[in-house]
Amino acid sequence: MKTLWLLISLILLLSLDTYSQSLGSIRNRIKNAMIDEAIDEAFNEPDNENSDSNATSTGENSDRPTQNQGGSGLDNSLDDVPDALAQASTEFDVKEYRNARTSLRKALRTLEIKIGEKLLSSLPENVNGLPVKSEADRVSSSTSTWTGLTIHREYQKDDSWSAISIYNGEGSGLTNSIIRTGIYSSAYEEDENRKNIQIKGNDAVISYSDTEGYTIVITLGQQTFVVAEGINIASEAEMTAIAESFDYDTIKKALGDQ
Amino acid sequence: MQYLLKMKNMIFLFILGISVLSVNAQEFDKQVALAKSAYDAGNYEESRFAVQNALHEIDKMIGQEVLALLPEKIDNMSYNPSGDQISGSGTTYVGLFIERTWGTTETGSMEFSVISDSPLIGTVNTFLSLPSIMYSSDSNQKKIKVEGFKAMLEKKVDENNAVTGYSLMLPYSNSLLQLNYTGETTEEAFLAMVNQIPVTKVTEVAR
Repeated sequence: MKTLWLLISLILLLSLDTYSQSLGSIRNRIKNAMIDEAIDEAFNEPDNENSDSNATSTGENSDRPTQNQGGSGLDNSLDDVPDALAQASTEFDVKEYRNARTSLRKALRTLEIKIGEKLLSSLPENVNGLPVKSEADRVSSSTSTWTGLTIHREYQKDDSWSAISIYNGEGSGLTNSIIRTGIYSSAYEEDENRKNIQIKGNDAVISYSDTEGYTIVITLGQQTFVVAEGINIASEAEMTAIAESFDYDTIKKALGDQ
Repeated sequence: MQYLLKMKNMIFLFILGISVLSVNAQEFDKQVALAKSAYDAGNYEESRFAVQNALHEIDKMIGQEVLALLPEKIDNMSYNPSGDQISGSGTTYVGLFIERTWGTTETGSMEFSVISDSPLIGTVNTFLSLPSIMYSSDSNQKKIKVEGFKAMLEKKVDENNAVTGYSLMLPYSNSLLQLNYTGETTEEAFLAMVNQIPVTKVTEVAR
């Protein structure tokens, strides 16, 4: 058990700082492999006559259509909660526990999407002069207690852009602990582009970069945190005003957080 | 007399097991009913909380099924009933956790654990699958197969290079099965102990 906890701790620590680097490295390797393959396909002649006997299709003789012209896509409609609960009960009674778990997760997804949509409709239509971009509204449910529910809304006027993302799940509790216990701020003590602030009484960290603009991470309750982003926002005061446009008590209440 | 005592213990454990299952089933029904009534009242957050608790009850039932598959004895080591542990993913990010131990620290002990349905385990399993880990140059580690599953076997040694035990990590799906033996033994003896665990059946129940 100790070994496992060590592994989990190690992975969590590594993932905090190296996740994006690793992704970049993997992306580069895949990109290089794809370029190599394309060059090989374009210039290489078959080594010998037997090369056609290779079982792998080269694609040259395939009748695969180049463009999809049919199909109605995926059914993303929400499951009916009472039906999914009834199904779970039936499966539980006959000891089909994995199926019962799947049915409960269907109910959970519908519930999380409904909670998210209700919360989304309560967010302001305008923040600090930036009107909402309704087409970018998004609610997603992982049905996992770890990652939980995500709600996203964007605001834009000309080239000034802002977004709010609300994360609710047990993983968010870990993020909150990192910020509240000072682990995060002590790790970036020397960084003049990050500092601890408060947004409407909630602990938060604001950061700035010339390329990404402003980001404020606000801890909220036990299992929620909010990320407010701003690109082409004139100053820290303006970004703080955007973050203060939201009613965090209502957000907490809607998510059942304390 | 000893036979009668053993029978009495077995009957007690059977009744205890039935009682625990019945309590869990009642709690599951209660949480599903709560989820339904909260949903009908438009209280989605309460309904969500009840569904998460019902998921927790399912994990407990899965945990009990896994424990029921495990032997009461491995070689001459008896299992420790008070050491059985199950915790569900309804409330913890680690996912479903099941543990059983056999033997004592004085004479040698074996620890079995499964962590299942955990978002973290997916990452751990990816880590374990890395060639640098699975094909490590560490002479105390090697890759083996147990009932067809790839697993990492590790010999544990002290500062004098004396064997202090063996461990096995077997990743499957988004789950991890672990076996740890602490005490003097050989690789063959440890693998003989491992073979007393119905690995395939465990992976079918807990995934």
